[in-house]
Amino acid sequence: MKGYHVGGLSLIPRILAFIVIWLLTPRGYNHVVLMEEDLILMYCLMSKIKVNWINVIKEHIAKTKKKPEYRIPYVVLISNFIEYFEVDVEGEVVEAVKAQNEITVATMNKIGLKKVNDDYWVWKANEDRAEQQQYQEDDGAETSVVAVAAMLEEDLILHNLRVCCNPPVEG
Amino acid sequence: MKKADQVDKIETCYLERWFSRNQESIEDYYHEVSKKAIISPKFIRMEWLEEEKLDEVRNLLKYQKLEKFLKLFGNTYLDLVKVFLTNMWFDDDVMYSQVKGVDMGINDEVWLAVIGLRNAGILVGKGNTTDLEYFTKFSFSRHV
Repeated sequence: MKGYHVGGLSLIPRILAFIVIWLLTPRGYNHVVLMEEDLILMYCLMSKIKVNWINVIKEHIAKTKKKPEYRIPYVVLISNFIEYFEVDVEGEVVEAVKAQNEITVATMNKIGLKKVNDDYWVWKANEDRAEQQQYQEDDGAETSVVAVAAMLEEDLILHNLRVCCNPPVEG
Repeated sequence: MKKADQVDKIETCYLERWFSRNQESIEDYYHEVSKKAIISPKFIRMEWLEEEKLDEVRNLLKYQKLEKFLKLFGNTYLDLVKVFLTNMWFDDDVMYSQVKGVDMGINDEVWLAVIGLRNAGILVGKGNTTDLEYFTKFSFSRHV
């Protein structure tokens, strides 16, 4: 199956990809490769096309049941249904959702995003690249067209929804 | 009675309660769903996105009315979730299941009450992009 690596995304799409892969249609594998279904949902989110999320959830859960190797998603949602229908839960194994499962700064750092000057977010990779270019410039190296383009990209990254063209990788 | 037999007996007792003595479901559970791993649930608060000045992300999610679903947390009943999945079936767009003898029909009213979502919006999925006139995998990954 062909997929696109999340490493090619700019900031906003990267966060949305994370939300699609971990929260909206959670899966237990391949968290860095975007499948066709991920791209469709990201496209709808970013283009403000109203999606029937109930249908998305139902299809995802049905797929999970069909394939033995798939892990079970939406355990909190299903537990909420169980409570809604007042099933007797006394004596059953129960676990509260852990605080570390909340998406926070630490999660963003883990997926390669970094807060700069306590103000805005950038890709860690981009920052490293910027530092590297700075070092080269201090060293008297000529600034190449590629480096300028990279710096421009750096400036634009917070506002631009463009997904950098990234060669497809085998998923 | 040997210890292993005792464990078996306790397990059988649980299974019968969970599945209201439906042997077919118990078999399905035993051979398939019980072996499945669970994906650790994550949640995100819109307030956090606001605090982090990620308003653009927050606005896009709010537009889809996903706030309640995304911040869903609470207790998880790991065994009963597997019972739900074992007994789950679909009919006429409604998801049904049965847990410990309680019939559950997840209709529009339930979805709205639990995660605040209405059964509306376009139907999309892998291989179903008919309503997305301008979407192609290639153009999206290049231009969006």
